[in-house]
Amino acid sequence: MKPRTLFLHSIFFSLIFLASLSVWGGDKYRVLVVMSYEQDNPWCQEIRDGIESALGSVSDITYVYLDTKADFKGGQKKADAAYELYSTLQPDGVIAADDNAQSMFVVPYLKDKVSTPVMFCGVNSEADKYGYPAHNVSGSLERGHIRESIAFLRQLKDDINRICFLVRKSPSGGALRQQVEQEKSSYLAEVSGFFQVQNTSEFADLAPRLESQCDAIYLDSLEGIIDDKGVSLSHKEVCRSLEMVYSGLFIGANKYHVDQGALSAVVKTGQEQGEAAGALLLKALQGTPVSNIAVTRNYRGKRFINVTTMKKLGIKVRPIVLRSASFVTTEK
Amino acid sequence: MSSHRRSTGQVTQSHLGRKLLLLLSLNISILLLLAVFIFSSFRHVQAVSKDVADAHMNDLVINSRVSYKLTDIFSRIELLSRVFWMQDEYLVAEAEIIEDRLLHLKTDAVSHDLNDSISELTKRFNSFVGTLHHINQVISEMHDLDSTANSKLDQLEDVISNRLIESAVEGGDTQYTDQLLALTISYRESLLLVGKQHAEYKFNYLHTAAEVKLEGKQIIADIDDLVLRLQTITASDPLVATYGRSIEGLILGYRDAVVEMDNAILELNRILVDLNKTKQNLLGQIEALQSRAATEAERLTASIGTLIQTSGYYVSIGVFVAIFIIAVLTIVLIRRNINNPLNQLIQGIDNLGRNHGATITLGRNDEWETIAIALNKMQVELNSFYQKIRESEAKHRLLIENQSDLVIEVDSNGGILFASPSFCKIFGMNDVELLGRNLLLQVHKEDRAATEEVIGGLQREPFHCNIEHRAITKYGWRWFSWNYRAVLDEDGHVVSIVGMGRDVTSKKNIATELQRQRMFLRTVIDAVTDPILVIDRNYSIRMSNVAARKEYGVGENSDQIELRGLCHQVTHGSDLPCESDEHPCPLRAVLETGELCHATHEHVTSDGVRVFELAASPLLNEQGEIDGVVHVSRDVTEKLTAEKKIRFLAHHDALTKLPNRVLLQDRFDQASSYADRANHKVAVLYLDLDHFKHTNDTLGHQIGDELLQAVVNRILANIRETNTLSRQGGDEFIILMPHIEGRDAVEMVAKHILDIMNEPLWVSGHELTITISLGISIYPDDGSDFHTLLSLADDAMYSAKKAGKNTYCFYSKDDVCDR
Repeated sequence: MKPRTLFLHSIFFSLIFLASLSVWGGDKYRVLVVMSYEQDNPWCQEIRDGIESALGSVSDITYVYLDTKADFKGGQKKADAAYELYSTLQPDGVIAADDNAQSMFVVPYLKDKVSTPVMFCGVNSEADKYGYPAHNVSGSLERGHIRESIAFLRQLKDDINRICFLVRKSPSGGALRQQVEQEKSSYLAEVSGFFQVQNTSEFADLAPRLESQCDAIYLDSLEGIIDDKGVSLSHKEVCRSLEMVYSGLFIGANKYHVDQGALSAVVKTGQEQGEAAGALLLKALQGTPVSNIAVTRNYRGKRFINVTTMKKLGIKVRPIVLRSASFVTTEK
Repeated sequence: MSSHRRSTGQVTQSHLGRKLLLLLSLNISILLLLAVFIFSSFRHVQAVSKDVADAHMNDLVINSRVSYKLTDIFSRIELLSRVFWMQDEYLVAEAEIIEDRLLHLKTDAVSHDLNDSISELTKRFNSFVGTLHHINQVISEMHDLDSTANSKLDQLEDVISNRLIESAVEGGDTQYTDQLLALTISYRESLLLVGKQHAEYKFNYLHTAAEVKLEGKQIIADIDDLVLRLQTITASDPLVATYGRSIEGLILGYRDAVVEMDNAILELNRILVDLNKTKQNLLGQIEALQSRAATEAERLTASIGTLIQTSGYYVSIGVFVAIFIIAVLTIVLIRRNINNPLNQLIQGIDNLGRNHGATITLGRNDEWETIAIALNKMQVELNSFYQKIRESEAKHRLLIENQSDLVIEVDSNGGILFASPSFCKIFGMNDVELLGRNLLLQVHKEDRAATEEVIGGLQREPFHCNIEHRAITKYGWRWFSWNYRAVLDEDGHVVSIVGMGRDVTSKKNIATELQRQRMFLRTVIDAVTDPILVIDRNYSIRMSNVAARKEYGVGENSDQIELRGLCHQVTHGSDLPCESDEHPCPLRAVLETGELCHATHEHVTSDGVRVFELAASPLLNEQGEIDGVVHVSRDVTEKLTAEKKIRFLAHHDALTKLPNRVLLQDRFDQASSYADRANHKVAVLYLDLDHFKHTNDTLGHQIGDELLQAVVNRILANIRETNTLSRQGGDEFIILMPHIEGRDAVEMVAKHILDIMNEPLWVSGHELTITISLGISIYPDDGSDFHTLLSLADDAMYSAKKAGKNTYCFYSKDDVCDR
């Protein structure tokens, strides 16, 4: 069989397969989810859990991962492939998670171009950066509970008066900086530094400043920093690198940050945002015009304390503070 | 005699009186001198004392008053400082009272320094009150904030609790909601803790007042901690976050209030310390003033003491000397002018007792000699008086011994002390036998107890009594009437009892006989069943028998109560005597004619108005004059009623009470006579109920009788009163219509009667319809006598029956129904 014939046959059978899926699936919705990061990323897993809880029972969900933490440049190609899949799948709705999925997939292919409802989540930037809301796009913005995390830290350790921020030099990091600039007057500690890094080698240079001008560091969006060999690191690996040059305490924004060594955090959860996007999409699928669905944001902040870190730092916490928090130990 | 008395009196004045006057004058002079001396000493002491009082007592009093008022004011301020949170109204009222008292205090103050200090105190007190006001406001604000925060927290807990339940039900994120709930509960606990700490803080403030130790800082730290923990709840959805921010705002407000209160309490503490200093200063000033006044008073007191001691020494000597002189003079004069002549006088009186003809001679020219002369004269008069008494006694004894009434004197136990000859005679004993014998032994045993009680009663007022009793005499048992009277000594004690008695046996026997005769007559007239009244000329009832009392008496047992009052009141209930022709007055008739009189009266009795036949006969006195009447009555009400009933039944039907044929004929005779004179006619309508026998047989005679009565009632209601409806017997009736001019009027009545019978009748629950056949004859057209007309009307009625019933026919000679 000639390749051309083979391709045509493949296309034909794929269409037959998809059609049969459609028939077999009954009245379930077809939903395409495009994630900005890799499939193993804890954040992506949280978002996936949230989407499943909202749409799992009524939809057939297809996930696509752009893997932009490890390979930002390759992200666009994966986005193109995702569009092809979209064209083939003809989903009833689309969910795009985190900023890169917006810039690489939704904005070029879907926003104001198709009638398929699209819901975003995990977006740190302002919505208008992507032209949201559009006639077929709405969703849930992501805002870290920075002020609350600092307040929670002060409950654990009341001598924290200066706080520094350490993020990756990335759109997400930039968005975070913008948020801090807007909110810092309401923080219970002085923002004494905001550092954006690209590789671990910068840690060594930063360490003296961190030690001298920061009582604690707020870490976020550090995944994707490269090491000396140019290898993209996970958040956990970044933390291990940092700990080699910095002995002070740090806090995080997500639960996995605390799992991986941050003292505490009032965390935003992927579950909440995934669930919110899923619920909004379901609303659209059930007939609500997208233009009537307002852009929302995440609200829930859970209090987590890493007791391994707490013990290591010799911090004594009053029971009244402990009672309203959940505890984790540092992952091995 | 009188000239001797005058000369004796002059002697008395010139001797004993002068001596006594001299003694009195001397005593008065000495006492006056003493009084002047003592008075001048006390005047001196008084002057010195007054100086002390004038100079220093006023200061002491004012200082005491100021001190008292200050104590009162500081007590009130102390109380205000102890009452931590009071009503503003109370504070204002109390402040006004204190300010007012401070103002008065300032007026009382005697020194400028004191006045200045009180001004300073007023100023500080005003600051104190102002600060208390401020604290009150802050506390009120804190209370409001706490209350609002708790309320918000309640609402937040409700929201979170609901969400937790929803999460659990829907499988949502319960971990998050759990955390929120724990967070909220921790806020509540902290809020309570802060409230508790603040309450303790207030309590400490209350009890330490001037030594208050600020503990607000710990509260502020706890509030800050709560605020810090509130920062994390904003990581929630907008509703929860809004509650969180709202509570945070309230807590921060509370924090500000705590700080403000801290400052206010510090200020209050400072003011209290200042007030205390002012108080000490004021008290010191007052103490100094009092001390100065006291020192001066002590000095003057010592002066007064010395003065009094000196004055007392001289006064004591003077008094001693005066008393000694008075005593010596008094003893000498008493011995010469009282003791010696008194002894002579006593001896003279003793001689007089032994020899009534002796006299007393003192040989003095003073009052004692006058007394001796007076005693001599009294002795002469006494001798004369005793002679007269003996003569009087002889006369009285003669009187008692010769009178027929009995006289006796007994002691309080009834023992005879004296018995008159008449007493001795009737009792057949001499006075020797009677003396000492108990009077009661002579009294009949049935009367003895009463006699004993009466004699015993003479021991008290009115000390006299009357009693009748029987006593055994030599003639047997006799009735005596006694008047006993107690004889009293000067102290009012009974020494004996004197009795005046009289034999009343004959009188008693007559009275008994009279009573028996009276009872006999009473029994006789009470046995008469007709009411009998004895009435005097003035209409007053003097006596009544049982039948009268039963008839006219009122109330229970009226038959046993004698009737009293005027006859017309008792029998007619009228205030005036009977005077109408229907009710002639029997008394007046008897008084006018002097003979037996009969009348019929209606009397008002307890059973209502009754008819009586009366017979009144004259009641003559000893002179044969009419003194009243004996009034006998008989109730004939039933008799008259029965007669009336008999008369009615003779002319009426027993069932329907309608006139019967006899009465009907009488009325026809009257009507026909009138018709002849007035050229009128008289109609006779003969009515017979159709099918009445069937009704009677099927429903019974009782219903039949009731039906007849119902028919009669309906017809009577529809004919004129001048017409007479009469029952002939069975179901046949006659209507007699007088004064008619022609048959049209009769025909109209006949048709109307037929019409009214078309309506059914209700008899004992049965709806009955009955018709009437009616025959008519006319006087004088059809006949001239009653029986003929009745017969003709009967014929016409049968014509109506033949014509089909329920119709009327005039009589026709052709034996047809003429209509």
